[in-house]
Amino acid sequence: MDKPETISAQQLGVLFFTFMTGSSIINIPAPLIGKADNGAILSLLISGAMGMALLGCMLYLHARFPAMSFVEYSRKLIGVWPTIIISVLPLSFMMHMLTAIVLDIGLFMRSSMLRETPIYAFTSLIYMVSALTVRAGLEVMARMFTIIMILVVLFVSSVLLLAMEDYNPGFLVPVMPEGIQPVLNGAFFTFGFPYAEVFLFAMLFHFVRKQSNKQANSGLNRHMFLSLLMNILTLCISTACTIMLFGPLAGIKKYSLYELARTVEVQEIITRIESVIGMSLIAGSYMKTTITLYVLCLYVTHLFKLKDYRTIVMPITLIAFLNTLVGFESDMQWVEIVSIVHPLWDTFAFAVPLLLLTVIAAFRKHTN
Amino acid sequence: MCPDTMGGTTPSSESTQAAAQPQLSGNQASNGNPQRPISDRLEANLSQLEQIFAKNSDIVFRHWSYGPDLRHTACSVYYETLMQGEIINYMKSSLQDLVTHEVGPGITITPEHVRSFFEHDGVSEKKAELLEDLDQAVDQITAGNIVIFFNQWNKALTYRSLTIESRPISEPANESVVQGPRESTVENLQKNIGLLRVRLNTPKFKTVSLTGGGETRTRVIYGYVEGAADPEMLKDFEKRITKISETEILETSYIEQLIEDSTWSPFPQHRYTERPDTAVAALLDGKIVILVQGTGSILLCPGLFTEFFQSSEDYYQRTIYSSMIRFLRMIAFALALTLPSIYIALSTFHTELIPTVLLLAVIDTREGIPLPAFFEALVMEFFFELLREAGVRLPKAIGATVSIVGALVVGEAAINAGIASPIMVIIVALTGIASFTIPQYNIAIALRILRFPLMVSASVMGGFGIMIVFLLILLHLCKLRSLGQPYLTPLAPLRMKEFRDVLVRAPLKTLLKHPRKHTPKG
Repeated sequence: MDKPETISAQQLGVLFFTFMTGSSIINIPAPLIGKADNGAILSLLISGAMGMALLGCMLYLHARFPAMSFVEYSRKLIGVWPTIIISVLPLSFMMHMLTAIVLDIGLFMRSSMLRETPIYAFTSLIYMVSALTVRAGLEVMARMFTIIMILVVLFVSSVLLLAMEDYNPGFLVPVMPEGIQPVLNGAFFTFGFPYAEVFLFAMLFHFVRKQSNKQANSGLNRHMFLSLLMNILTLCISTACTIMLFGPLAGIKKYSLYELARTVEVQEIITRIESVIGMSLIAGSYMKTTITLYVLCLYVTHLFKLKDYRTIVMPITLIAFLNTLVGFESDMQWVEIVSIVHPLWDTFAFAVPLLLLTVIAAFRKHTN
Repeated sequence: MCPDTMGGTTPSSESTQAAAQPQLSGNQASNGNPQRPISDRLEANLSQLEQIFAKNSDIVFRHWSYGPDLRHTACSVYYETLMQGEIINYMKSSLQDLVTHEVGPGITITPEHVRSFFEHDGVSEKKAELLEDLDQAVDQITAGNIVIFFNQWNKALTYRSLTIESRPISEPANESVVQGPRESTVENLQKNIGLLRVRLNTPKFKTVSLTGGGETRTRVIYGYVEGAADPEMLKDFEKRITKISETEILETSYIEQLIEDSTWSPFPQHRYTERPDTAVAALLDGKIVILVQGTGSILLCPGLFTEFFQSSEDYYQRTIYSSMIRFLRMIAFALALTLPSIYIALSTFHTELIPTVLLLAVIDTREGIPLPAFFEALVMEFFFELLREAGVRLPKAIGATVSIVGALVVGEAAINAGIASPIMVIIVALTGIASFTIPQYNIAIALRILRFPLMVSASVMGGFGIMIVFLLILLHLCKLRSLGQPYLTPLAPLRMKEFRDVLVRAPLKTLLKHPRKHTPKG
């Protein structure tokens, strides 16, 4: 590359929103409601607040080390070997994330649209497109995802609006039918997916174009927090809509937004619009896969001080694809991994190293 | 270089330079050939020229005698095929300059008179240039100018005399409009530049003249409006355009292919027009125009994706109408790209997405069709492409017959024979019509190409396949650049401020408020 890639703070904000919302908007509501019932929204608010806290840590670290990625300032703060040691979990979890997102698309496609197609047909194609996008670079990603995200938001919000006539706000109360415990359980689940995953952007802050330092940082902070707020709002709305439509059934329906779209019928003109949601899910998951893959490659590149991340995109994609092939045994086992192991895993993989570094950085003020 | 010199090739600068040099020195010869000074013996010069122009049936060597007792000789050399207009006797006019009264055959003139008059830039009606080099003389002759050699003078005179018939300015054939100017460019470079300059009365409109390489030595002029064109883009462009000096340029598209960013992209990265008003609008918008001698098409670069949906008429009609039409074009674009593949995906994989009544109708018409939907669509599309290609290549008179026969035979008979379903014929026809509504011909080609991978993926993976190909196309578009500018500007990167001419055509008041994208700062 002749010129280092840069994007604007706004573009990074859009990427962040895309990353946080892309696949979760369709995957989150059903299992969350299954765990927390009507307290789902509260769960989201709690885990969202925790996500905010993590984001705050990341932005603090970025303000301290403006031109560095997470790996680079970690190396500076705690040394080379400790960095490698604390990187084992994040790397493994990012690989798991890739597998999870892509597998979700495959499972969704198989369960809803193309029932007889083997899963690897979907996953391999998604991986291929993602890898090509990653190779195109962050600038292209930022440009492309803005367009896609606008379309996805448009689709989803129009579906939610069209389903309006079937909503029953009465389903929303009582807010906590079974006390605080299910709510905390839901918060734990949503912290694992998606809010602990904000960590990935600690690798991307340094791509933001710097005008004057102070101005750029405040712009970045504003955009990032705004994106996260929008994300929490979006997830809350889609969860609330699901509850209002299905009531007690909401937790059982898989891919609730898809099911929600199925019920839409305006006259006989607008019917069967669930395919639009299906497309949004594919697009959203594809974007999240791409960002995750990009960060994973960047992480490895920085960790081992490689020259260009592009050289390792294809091998890593292949490994992730193979992992997707062998990492899945049955739907039940997969749900268990995602809802129980997943939150615990990424708390240790993402949140703990981040907090550790923040504390160290706060105490060692002179290192810059 | 200022536009006023564009008419001439390079003689003025070269010959004045040569005149200032001592004879027989330096490498003044063009093309870096070994210098061949003009001899002061006429026969020597002529014999060399006769060798060079051997077997050129249209070369003319006209011998003259002048001076006291007609003792002195001279000879003018030119291609008679390149001087088709009024024939002026340049020999006479060159001698006429030397005498005080406009009379007689110049019997008092001697070579010394001629020499001193022309070497000191004497006042003359027709300006002659001085040549010292035989190769320069050859260049002048092949460029359509007349060169006069005098005995006892080691220089030659050249007069600009190229007059060749060109088509008169007519209505544009490919970009017709209901309202707006009806002038179109012709195959004459000077006329074309004139058409532009008459609409753009400012010295800020710069035109730079270049010469292509090889045997054609085609003259190429690129123009831009200073202050409107992005200086960085201009620098990038100038770096790329230098390549043309190694290439024979026959048409503007040669230059497009030399300077484009991505050769293998199905999407055109430059726009063409034959309308001077379109070219001027583009110039004001900061584009660079390229014109080539001998062809009427103007290349506008960089070409961005959204501009291929704009027609010059959009600005001559009222805002609301233009915006609606543009909306229609976008739908047409989507239809032309995806209609066959969506039909394949729906009828093969997602029948549940088709409303029941429509589904029954579709099933009904497809009954007894031997081919699966994909092959049916492929065959019909292929027929359609055949028809279209045949229509383009045939003489105009037969072209109409082909389309009638094609429509009847391929449409009607295929349905009756049970090879294709009526709904497929509708779809293919609709796709074709939709692709004709796009104002720029060259982006419709991209659609024709991309339709086929979409159909294949739709037949293999249904909607998911279409989605994947769409993502790939979008990725390509986001990655593509035209002269260094992102191709999808202002969609990606998203710039809301530049949206006034993308989805809707903003009112002219808004549109003209800041028409220059790259006004110089400060």
